[in-house]
Amino acid sequence: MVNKDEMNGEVPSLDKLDKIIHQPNRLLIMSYLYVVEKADMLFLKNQTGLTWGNLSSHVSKLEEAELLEIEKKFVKKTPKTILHLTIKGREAFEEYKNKMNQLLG
Amino acid sequence: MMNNGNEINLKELEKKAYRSFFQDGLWDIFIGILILNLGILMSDTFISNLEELSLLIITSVWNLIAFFILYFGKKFLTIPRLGYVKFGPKRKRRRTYLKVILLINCLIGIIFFIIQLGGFLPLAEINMILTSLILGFLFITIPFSVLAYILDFMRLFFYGFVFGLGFFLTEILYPLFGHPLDTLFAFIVPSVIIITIGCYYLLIFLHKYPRLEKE
Repeated sequence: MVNKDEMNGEVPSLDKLDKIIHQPNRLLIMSYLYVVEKADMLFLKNQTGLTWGNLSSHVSKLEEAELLEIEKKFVKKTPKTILHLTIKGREAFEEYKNKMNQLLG
Repeated sequence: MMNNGNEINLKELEKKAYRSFFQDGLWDIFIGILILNLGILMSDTFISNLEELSLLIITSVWNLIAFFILYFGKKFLTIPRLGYVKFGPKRKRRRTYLKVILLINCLIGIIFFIIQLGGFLPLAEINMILTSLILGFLFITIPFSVLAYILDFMRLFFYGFVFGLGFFLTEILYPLFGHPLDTLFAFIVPSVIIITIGCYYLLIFLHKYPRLEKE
């Protein structure tokens, strides 16, 4: 996704950064989900080092913003929460990545 | 990509996530058991009285045990502790390349075996030390290295090197120590070391990732 600023070669201002993604823990969650197809909560917890509570609250915020989708299913009577980025989430992450690259070179 | 002074490298992040599945030491144990099997077969001290069919059954059962350790270990130890993840298309592509390369290697091996069987390549008349070195690297070290590169499993480079060198070492050690000490040093000792490394990684993994009952 290329916006006007990028086309004109201007540096985007910090205000234009996606505030939902910009939070460090959410950025880490988004980054992991961007590089894989899907993952469960346990995998994300181990990789990010967040507590269950923290992870849960950040995931909820990302879900509210429709950046990721949560799929709940039972695997051998054990509940599994599988997460994956939505198309909107992938695009938003790529846009954020481009803006950060422009800002910080 | 930068964030609050902490660099996030997406490629490294993906590699780190992928490599975490090799922290459990199960692949090390699996490879170690396979090499140990080969070492015991080559030493023929413990099994000298057995017929070929019995040897084949023992080898198959041994390799099956190694496979079960890997399969059930991943299923009941690794995934419940590390969590579920499905990697992207890049990894799928790499696995396809891996299959093609290993298939080509296998075909070359079969062709080589047929040529040798037909007497077109009289190995006995060639320098055995040099031949064992070349064959070990061609059919063991190279496939292991390809596997290590594609799987991002760096210890496999070392195992491929040690395993590939095994036949060459047997030739070198035979005049010095005789049989079966040559195979003991060339195959059994390295395989025990590899299994020990695997067990060490497994213990660290079990300690680092305790099983969680609830999400």
